[in-house]
Amino acid sequence: MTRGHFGQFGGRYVPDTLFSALESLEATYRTIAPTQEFKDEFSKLLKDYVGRPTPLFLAERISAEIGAKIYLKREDLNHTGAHKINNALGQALLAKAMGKRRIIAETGAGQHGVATATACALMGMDCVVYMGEEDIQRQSLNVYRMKLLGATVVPVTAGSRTLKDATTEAIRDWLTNVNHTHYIIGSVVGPHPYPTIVRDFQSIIGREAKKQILSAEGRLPDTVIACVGGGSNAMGIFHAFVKTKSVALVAVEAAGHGLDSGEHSAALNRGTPGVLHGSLSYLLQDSFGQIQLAHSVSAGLDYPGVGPELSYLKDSGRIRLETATDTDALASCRWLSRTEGIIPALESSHAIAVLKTMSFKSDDIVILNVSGRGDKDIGTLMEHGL
Amino acid sequence: MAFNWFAKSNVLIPYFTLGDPSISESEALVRAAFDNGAGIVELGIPFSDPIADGPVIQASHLRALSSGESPTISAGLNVVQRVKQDYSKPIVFMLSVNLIMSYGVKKFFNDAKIAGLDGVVIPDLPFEEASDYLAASRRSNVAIVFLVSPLCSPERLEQIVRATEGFLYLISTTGTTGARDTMATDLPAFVEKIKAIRDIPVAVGFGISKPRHVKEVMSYADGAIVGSHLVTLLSTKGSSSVIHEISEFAAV
Repeated sequence: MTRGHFGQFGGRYVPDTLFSALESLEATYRTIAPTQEFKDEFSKLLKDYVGRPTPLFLAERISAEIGAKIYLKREDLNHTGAHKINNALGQALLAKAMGKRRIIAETGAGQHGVATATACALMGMDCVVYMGEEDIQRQSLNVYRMKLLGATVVPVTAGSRTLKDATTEAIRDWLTNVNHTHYIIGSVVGPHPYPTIVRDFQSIIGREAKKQILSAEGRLPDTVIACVGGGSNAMGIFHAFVKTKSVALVAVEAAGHGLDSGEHSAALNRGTPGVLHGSLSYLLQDSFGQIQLAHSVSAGLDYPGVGPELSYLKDSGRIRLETATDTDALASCRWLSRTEGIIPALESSHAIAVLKTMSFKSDDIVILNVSGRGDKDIGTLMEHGL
Repeated sequence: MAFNWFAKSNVLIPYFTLGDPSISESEALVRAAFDNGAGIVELGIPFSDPIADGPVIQASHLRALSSGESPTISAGLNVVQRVKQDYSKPIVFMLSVNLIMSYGVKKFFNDAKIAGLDGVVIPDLPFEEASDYLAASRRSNVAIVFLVSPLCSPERLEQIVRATEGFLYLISTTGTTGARDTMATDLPAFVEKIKAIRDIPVAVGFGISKPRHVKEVMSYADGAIVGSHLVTLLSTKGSSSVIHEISEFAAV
């Protein structure tokens, strides 16, 4: 396996202009990230600013209903309301080390945009967030938060006006302003070294969960469940368990209106290998290689690609694939709200949905990553009559 | 492999998107471009999500993809096959790597050879990921034209200059494709660096929209690539303006 590849997946499929920027990012990351100074600064922020470690909560009422011990990793309790802040702060620190004062980001649900705007406000950096016009409509609360935090939100009107197009537009900005700008990608996608950097910054989720479950139960879990759009919360919680084969890793993709409807975001389930946004991975594409539009009720999962490492873990048989439809996710959002008093993000609701469709043994220990809170989705929930 | 596309210096290289506004009009434009002084034609195969291109070319791709025709690689090769019956000047494709991957790398280079395609520019295929493509290119004698930007490190520049065939495509500015008022000023020195490594023709693209840009580029490089400017002209004023502009640029 060459550097930057996960089996055949990953790589660095970008125009030459970005190559040197990616090389310099990789060099900075390899030099700076392992230093004690960086680690101390990052951990201190995660603890004092983000509020880590997030709790691992035994959800007794849904456990009783499902017939297994269900633990929830509460990433929704992070500052800004989702796991995205872990990566945004890590990368903002890297940008600082590279002497870049202008930050750009793409966002779908707006959680990564808010996290990036937050990190930039904290560190006194300029922040420009690209967001599809359709996502701006359905996530207006997050748009307002980003503006309040001092970021410029640029509406993207090309293509499907969602995360895919926002990502393309952010890459274009980076191509033009690469000398003084750092691009904080929000998921484990994009050209090398992004999938590795984002995974590493998110891997705190799994490391904490492992420690917490050992202390609560004295053993590792049987199953770890996470939703997958690009895959950052999934890789974040999976990474600590990948080498322990006894732990089943379940990746839940958005089936939208159903896997056979053609309107879904299930790149791992239904995609084929191809290149989008700088890396080779499973993609929703037609027989000519044109990228197809993804669909999901949750803006954060509405992306036709997926991280290359997840594609590799799929092919190697290490992860188990599941899906949940829009309807399943909405119902699960209501279920968790009423049963445990936790309103999950619609993204996380996809992961929750499979608790009801998978079969467990009564002594099974399950950890489910609640990647974010549902406040941002209230508009969508109201529209769907929840 | 030996490609001799620059027998004459000052080669003008216009770009058209296949299928914008129609496949037959693209074919007519390629022919007319050759008749009016173009030395090489670059034919873009439209892609839904081109990251190296600016808004003008992306919009052109989306127009082509939503025209009701299928402006695919196969359609492009058919155009090449017909034009090459009447013209010997080189035609190169410009396309995103995913289109070739989806078509099949070996099959693409085989079919390209049969159609008479001379070369291919793949902006999002860096040298580091290109080994399968280079092997297929060598077998088929269809050139891979690599792109470099002035940000390229000396080590990579040497590898790319040695790997490219036909010519080297020099990106004149950072950013995506698109017409600009001013162009980067440090390019002549960069071209000298390239020529010191290997005596390969260098064509400059990204940002050329005026006769004075062409004149400036030709003073230190071998060719000038004109894309977004012609695509804009085509969509606003039609093909006769495009052909007129090509003959003006070719006369510089």
